[in-house]
Amino acid sequence: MTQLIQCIREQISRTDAARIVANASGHPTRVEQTLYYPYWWYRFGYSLTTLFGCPLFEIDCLVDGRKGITSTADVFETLKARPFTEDVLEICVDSDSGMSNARHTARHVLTKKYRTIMPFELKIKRNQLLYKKFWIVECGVRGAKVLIDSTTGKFIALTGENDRAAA
Amino acid sequence: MINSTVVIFLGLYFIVILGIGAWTVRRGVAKNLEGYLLGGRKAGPLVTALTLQSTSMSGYMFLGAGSLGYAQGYWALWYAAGDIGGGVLNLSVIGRRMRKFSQLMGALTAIEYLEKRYPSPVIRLIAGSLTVFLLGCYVLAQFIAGGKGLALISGLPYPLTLFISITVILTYTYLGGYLAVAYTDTFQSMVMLVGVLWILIAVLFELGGLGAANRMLSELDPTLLSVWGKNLIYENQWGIVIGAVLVFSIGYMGWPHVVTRHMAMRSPRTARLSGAYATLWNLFFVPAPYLIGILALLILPTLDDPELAIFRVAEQLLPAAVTGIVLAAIMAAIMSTADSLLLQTGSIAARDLYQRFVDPAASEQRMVWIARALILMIGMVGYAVALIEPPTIFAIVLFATSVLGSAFLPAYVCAVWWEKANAAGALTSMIVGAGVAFAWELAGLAESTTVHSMLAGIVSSTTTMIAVSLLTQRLNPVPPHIIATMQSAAQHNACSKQLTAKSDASLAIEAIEVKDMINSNKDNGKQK
Repeated sequence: MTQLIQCIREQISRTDAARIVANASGHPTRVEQTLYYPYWWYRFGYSLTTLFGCPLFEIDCLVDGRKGITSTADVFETLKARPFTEDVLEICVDSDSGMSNARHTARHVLTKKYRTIMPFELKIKRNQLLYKKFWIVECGVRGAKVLIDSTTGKFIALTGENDRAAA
Repeated sequence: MINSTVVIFLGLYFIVILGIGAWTVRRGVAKNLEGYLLGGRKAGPLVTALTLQSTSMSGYMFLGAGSLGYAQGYWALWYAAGDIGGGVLNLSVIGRRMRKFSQLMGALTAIEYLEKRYPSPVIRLIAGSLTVFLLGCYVLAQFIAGGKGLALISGLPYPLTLFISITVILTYTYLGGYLAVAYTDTFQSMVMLVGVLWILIAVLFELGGLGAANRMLSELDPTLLSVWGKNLIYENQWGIVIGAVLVFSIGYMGWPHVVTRHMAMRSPRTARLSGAYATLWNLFFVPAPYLIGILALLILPTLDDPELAIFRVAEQLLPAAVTGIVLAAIMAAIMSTADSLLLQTGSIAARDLYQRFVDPAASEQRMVWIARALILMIGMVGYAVALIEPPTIFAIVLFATSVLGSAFLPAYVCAVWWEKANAAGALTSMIVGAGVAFAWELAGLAESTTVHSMLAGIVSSTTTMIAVSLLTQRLNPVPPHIIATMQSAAQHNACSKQLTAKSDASLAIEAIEVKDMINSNKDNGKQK
């Protein structure tokens, strides 16, 4: 079964992903699975009082749809995709608590950036569920698994040190 | 008569040991129960290897091993042969998997680990009681050895030397817990190695080398050079020989105070390097006490008490200052085992008997204090019993180790290697193994059957484990979560170090979620 979702446009291809891991590991690789990870995307508008007026700015936040961890985000493009349902990770954080986390993070980041004491007045401009594509790449004879981010090309080993940390 | 130089060296040794204990207390790892019982699972490969080996090599190595060599000649080296491979065998067979499994299941003692793997409170009750009794006997043997050794060295009366040695051991074990024991063991293993090699070299110098010594032995009694014992007493008795090799090789895998070392390793990967260090240390250390015992026959042919062969040889050949170091080594062997046994007996009594069956709601802080109180109590009871001087050290050690190994070896090995091993199998194998080894020792069946008690015990407990587990698979199946944890513990580190080092930690949250999803998909697939 498939479903229609909004995705962040990938910056690296499936082949690039396999090549990145192959270069890092020195072993042959293959992309085993594509996964879609959920995020809440919030865009807040805020105004800044300067000597020349009060121009309007925007800040984007992405909230991890599974754990609620929030970060600000650079500009990205989106597109529609129709993946298999089993490749899509279920959302666990509701929109309201996601927004609350995002608002808190955005205020904190702006206060730090502009070195102000008063909190910024934020107006919500966008509130949308988005998915980011990840690949699971298998490498080497032992079948080590690596998770690679389709927008940045950063990766993390799924077996090995993380298992140890988890254990 | 008191030899002041020897006493000064021994005094220095005790100060260093207490200093290491105090240092670990200051590190503050012993604040919670995991910190006190397992040192916060922070032991690296060298510390793991050396604490494992020095714990396994008790005062027996300086008293029993020397005595065996003195009485039976080269036959005694069968024990050494098993002992050399014991460390690496133990670490490779159960080390890595036990470390991982114990943490995944949240087990803090070797007995709690058994209950988590074979879910049944009866397992914990029986295994806990059996262990407390046998380790109690074993720790008693170490106390007696410590007291006797110190009395011999210093010329002080036995009750006083017994009191001094128990007080030193109690102080750092009581305060610092596992980490104090592990670090003092590491130092003590170095002292043991230096000490024993020093005596061996002195003996070989005295006798003009091993070749010349062997010629002298053959003139004295040629059967001493044979592998069948003095007067060929064990000729073709392979049951006795195999038992002698097994007792200190695979026997280790059934000793709760030794297998706990696996649970305290920094990571499952530590096992591999620890195995290498343990073997290296064993190669140099293990044969030496047996050889000194054999060669002592040529230096002191008319010893009243063969258990004191190594002490007497050291006294005879070495200058006072060196004798101090060597005798410190002997004390180190005794103390490094005694502290581990004491900690294990106390922690098993506290965690597996008191907390499990008396006060399950006890807080972590309270449990640390209860473990400490029990350690203190065992020390005091041990002092009282050791004053009466029960049987020889060799007899107690052999009895306790044979019964422990026979009872627990199949349970520990199957816990990580055989998915069908169930609680019914483990329970009956423990009872049968302990019972057979106990009866064998008590009735002296080794002589009449020519089969060592350890061999009889292990064969019967292993057969019972296999038969009962297979017969009761339907009635008493292994829960799926235990099988899943076993499989997870068996997984090797598939990613190369290079790949892991280049991983980006900012993706850690996503990685955990994806791993959970993969695992739940696997489980669903299996259920279907």
